[in-house]
Amino acid sequence: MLTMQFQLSKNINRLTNAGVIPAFVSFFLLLSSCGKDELISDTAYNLEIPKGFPAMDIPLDNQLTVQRVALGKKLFFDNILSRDSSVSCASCHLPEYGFSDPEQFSKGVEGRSGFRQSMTLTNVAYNTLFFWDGGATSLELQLLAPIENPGEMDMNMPELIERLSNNHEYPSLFREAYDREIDPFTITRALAAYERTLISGNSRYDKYMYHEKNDALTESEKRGLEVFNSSRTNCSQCHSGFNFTSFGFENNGLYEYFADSGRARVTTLHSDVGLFKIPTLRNIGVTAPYMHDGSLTTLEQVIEHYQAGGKLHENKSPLITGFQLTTQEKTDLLNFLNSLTDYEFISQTAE
Amino acid sequence: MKKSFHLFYIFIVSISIVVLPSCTKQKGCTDNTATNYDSEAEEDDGSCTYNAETDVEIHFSSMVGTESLVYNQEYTINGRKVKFTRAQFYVSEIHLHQADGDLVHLEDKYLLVHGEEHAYSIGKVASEHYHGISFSVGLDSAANHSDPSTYAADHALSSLDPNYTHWNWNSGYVFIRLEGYVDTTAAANGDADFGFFYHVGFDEFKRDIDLDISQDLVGSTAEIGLEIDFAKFFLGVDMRTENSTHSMDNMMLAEKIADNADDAISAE
Repeated sequence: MLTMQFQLSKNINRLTNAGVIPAFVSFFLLLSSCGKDELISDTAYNLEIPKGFPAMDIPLDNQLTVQRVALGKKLFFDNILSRDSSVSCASCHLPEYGFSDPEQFSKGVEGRSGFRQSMTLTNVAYNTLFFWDGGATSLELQLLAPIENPGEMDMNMPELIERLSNNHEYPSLFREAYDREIDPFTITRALAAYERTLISGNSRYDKYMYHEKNDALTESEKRGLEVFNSSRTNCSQCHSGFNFTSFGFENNGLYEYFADSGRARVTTLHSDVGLFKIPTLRNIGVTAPYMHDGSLTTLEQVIEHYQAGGKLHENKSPLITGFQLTTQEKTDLLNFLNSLTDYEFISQTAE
Repeated sequence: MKKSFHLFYIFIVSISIVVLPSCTKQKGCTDNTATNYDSEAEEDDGSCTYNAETDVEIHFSSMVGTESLVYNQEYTINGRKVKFTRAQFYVSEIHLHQADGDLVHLEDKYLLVHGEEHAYSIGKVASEHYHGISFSVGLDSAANHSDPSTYAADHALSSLDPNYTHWNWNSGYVFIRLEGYVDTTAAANGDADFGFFYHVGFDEFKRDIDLDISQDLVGSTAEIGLEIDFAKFFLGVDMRTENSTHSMDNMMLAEKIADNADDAISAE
């Protein structure tokens, strides 16, 4: 180490003999070469974690910056991602519907239909497994599916890279965000960076619960919260915690025979047949239709399904046994669920 | 004037000494396979010296029985007409067996072997005699569930590889992918016109292959010759009825195909 310093200072001495300007230049060149490993031009993104929410795990290779989030947002709303430039991420994850789709099955390129309901992206980054069956194991890996699937965007990475590289805006945006060329890494990282900002924790329920605004919920909604949390309904056993989900998988007795095997599709286990991701209930009032196949169109129907206790199935959760509610209690529960809508979150736009 | 300039030089030099140590790195040979590897060196200075090494390629001869594999050409497998449109598999954990029993592990070397390409570089190894090669068809769990977007464009696991095959809806690679057309008539007297596909993935379907070779891998380049008989992937498979699997929808069939890898691949 000492020899190195000596040699460097000797070099600089030699330069200084030649004149002031080269000395300056060499000094700054040396400095800038040190900083190469770090992104020095980026602005850290201030991710606001709502009260009551845990800190978010963000991968070291994709720390949030203003540039990355902005790039990801631009990509999210851009049809350029689909083969025939007809759909974007936002086509099936519409902000006004809590980043889900009011259609039972979303339409991909050429109007191709999927077979599951588009999931809300509300607080999506808090998941560790993605999709209704948990088939993808990280936010970044999850992103490959909608881009590559023939029924969704039907795109492949080499073509997408070429397309983005020929665009007049994207190359410089990628360089500013990641200091590298457009490639599968930067495309998936940018989209994931944006999705990590899709945090919803500003509903009237949150104001009541975490911000001591006792009048943020109506009396009916407060009673509904009690029904929700009661051992009579067991709702909060699975829809638990800050995000109203245990992040687990359950069979809720929707069918006796499941045409879609759910979690078993990726695990191959018989005990996983008919199990699906327990979705968050945040923004549930605007994310109809419901269930993995969008087969229930209203929240009333969903409550009635659980009230009846579901169909017989060997994998059905033992918590789903049915319960009695008065008409008033049902209205209260419904009102409570609707108080989970975060209007600030769902009013986001592409701009 | 001149004196103030000198002071300025000293100022810059002293700042450099204070600021620069954080980015000056000790130079030396940083390659731990070199004979003069310096564990203290942080930056390679090009001084590494090595024992003689040979750049090794594996040459896969793709066959269907006794004929060479050509996509879309008709063959007979288990008495039925068959055409391939794609035949490929991932190879990992490549080891060469030295005479003294030591194994040379070609770390982070993955291949995506497909029917119409034959030569695959596996990198440099010490120039000497080897008596075996072992590898896995498929990937270990960590590689299988890694993110394809994190690999360099020329890596076999990159999504930019033209034959890249990855289940994005169930994060993992398709270890073996065989596709084409087969005659499914009961009497096996029709045409190869029914599409078949065998997509074998999942950690549990990785298969280890261990082959005897007896070869001096010396000189600047050398080649290990292996043969793949794609017909043997279908040993015990009735292609009339067992003609598709995504693995999870027909685990038994996927397992059969995986188990056949050992018979299908041999040393030439």
